[in-house]
Amino acid sequence: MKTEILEVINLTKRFGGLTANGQVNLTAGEGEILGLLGPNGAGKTTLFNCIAGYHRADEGKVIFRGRDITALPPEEVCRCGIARTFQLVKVFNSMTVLENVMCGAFLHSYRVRTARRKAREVIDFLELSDKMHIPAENLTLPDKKRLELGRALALDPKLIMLDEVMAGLTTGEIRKAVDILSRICDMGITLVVVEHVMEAIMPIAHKVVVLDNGEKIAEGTPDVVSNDPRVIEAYLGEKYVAARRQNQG
Amino acid sequence: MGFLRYKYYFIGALVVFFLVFPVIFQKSFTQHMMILIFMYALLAMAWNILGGYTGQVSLGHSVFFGIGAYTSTVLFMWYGISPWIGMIAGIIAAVAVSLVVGYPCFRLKGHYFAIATICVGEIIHLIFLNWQAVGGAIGLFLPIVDDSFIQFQFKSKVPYYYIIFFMLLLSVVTTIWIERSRLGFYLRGVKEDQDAARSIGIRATRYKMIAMALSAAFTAMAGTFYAQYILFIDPGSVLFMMLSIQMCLMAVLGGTGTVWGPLIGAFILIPLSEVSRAHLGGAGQGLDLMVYGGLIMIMSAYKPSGLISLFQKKE
Repeated sequence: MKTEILEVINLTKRFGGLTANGQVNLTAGEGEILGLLGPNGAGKTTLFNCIAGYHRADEGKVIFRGRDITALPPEEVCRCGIARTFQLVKVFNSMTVLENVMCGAFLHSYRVRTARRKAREVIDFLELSDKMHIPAENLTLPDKKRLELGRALALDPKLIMLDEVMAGLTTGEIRKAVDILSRICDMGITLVVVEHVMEAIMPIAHKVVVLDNGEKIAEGTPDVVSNDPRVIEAYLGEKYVAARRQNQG
Repeated sequence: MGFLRYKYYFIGALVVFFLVFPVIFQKSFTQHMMILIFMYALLAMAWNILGGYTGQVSLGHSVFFGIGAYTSTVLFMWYGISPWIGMIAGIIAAVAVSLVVGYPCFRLKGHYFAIATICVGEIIHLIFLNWQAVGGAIGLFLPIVDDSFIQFQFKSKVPYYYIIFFMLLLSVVTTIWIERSRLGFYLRGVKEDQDAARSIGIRATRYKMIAMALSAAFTAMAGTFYAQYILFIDPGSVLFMMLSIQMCLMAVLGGTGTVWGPLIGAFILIPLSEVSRAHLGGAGQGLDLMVYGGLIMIMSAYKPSGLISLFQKKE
């Protein structure tokens, strides 16, 4: 049994009368890939923002490596070892790719030279070397997403939360991204992946949590979850069921 | 690209030129103009640290200028303390005020921050207008003493010229250092996207405060210089909102978030306003402002990143 690195306990977040997250519990084991799924408006991003410190949870707790991080602001959550990306990419547009990643690498070093070396390593890993000196605003969307991931990796985090990294990518690009994610996982970094593209995440996730209307409706291995009738009803819909039948038949 | 290769020779030649400038040009008006250009360039450089690199547009920087001017003057008049020490006291006071003002104001973003700084500027202006102990609306005349470096007073303009030149040089060196250090990366990160900056562990508020403090320090330094050079200060001259706007305009015209932009801006705008004022007298009072306005309109339409972008290599 792997040790739990992240624990969300009875987390509730309300926006006025709307309960975006109601009593959500989840855990992520060290070194695993946790998929967080659900239809639009299920509360995935809200949950994500509560963990990362952008929203303050109304009830419940977030425990990371034994420490209560519920009330911490984003920059302190990051300093605990949680990096994140954004659903709508937020790169530093006027900076080059290298400078963007250096900004992340500066978390552990004052020295420009050390940060630059670290950033180059990460950029090599993500195969962005040929675009190193291009301003981020000139990158394509997949490259921007990869750059954002690079900036997060340069922080040397224990856990990375990815908010819809696959959205808007082509099938080939998704395959590439999935490959990168599993290599990051091999490095011992835990991944929490919020995803809309179910097919992308199913093959690599160790565990999947499904949200609907702000509540957790299923949890387990990808196989178990995708056969859960509630999940099929709430999220996958008839199309997926039909597709599965076709595959089996 | 040729420009980049010769950049360092060019800068070296400029520094030498400005060092011998007062020897070549001995006309008082020319020297006076150069001193003013340097002083305003220093102000624009100071503003640029907060407004350019960090993206927090302040329109209340006259507060720090006024604090610098008043602190050294009051200490000199009341206690006979050397204005150099007064300058350091003024810098400390300005930094303290910048932190007190900055903390609540940095909760606001964008235009709201700019509005808040205008309010702070006007509040301080009104306080000094009605504060009789420091001269109120009449202002303070510095007692004239003999030429002395310690007392920061000279009959000739040349010592003033070199003092302000080295102050400006100090601000340029500081800005270059900021740009190349982690601080510069973090400030630009905060400017580009505060949420993203926080997500990579940048304590945004703290870095904005650091930028504000540095900016306030250089502005206060210029304030003390102004008091010692003009030997008369009143709220209308050192706490005037137009001064804050001018700092912003020079940096914007030249190019914010760059080392050389504010310098270029000062070298264009200040001669413009001084010459028009000198040649047109009272009639020219508003003319420099009209030219400012026109320039800013042309700039924002055709060169939004400032005149400096003319010299930068194309990507």
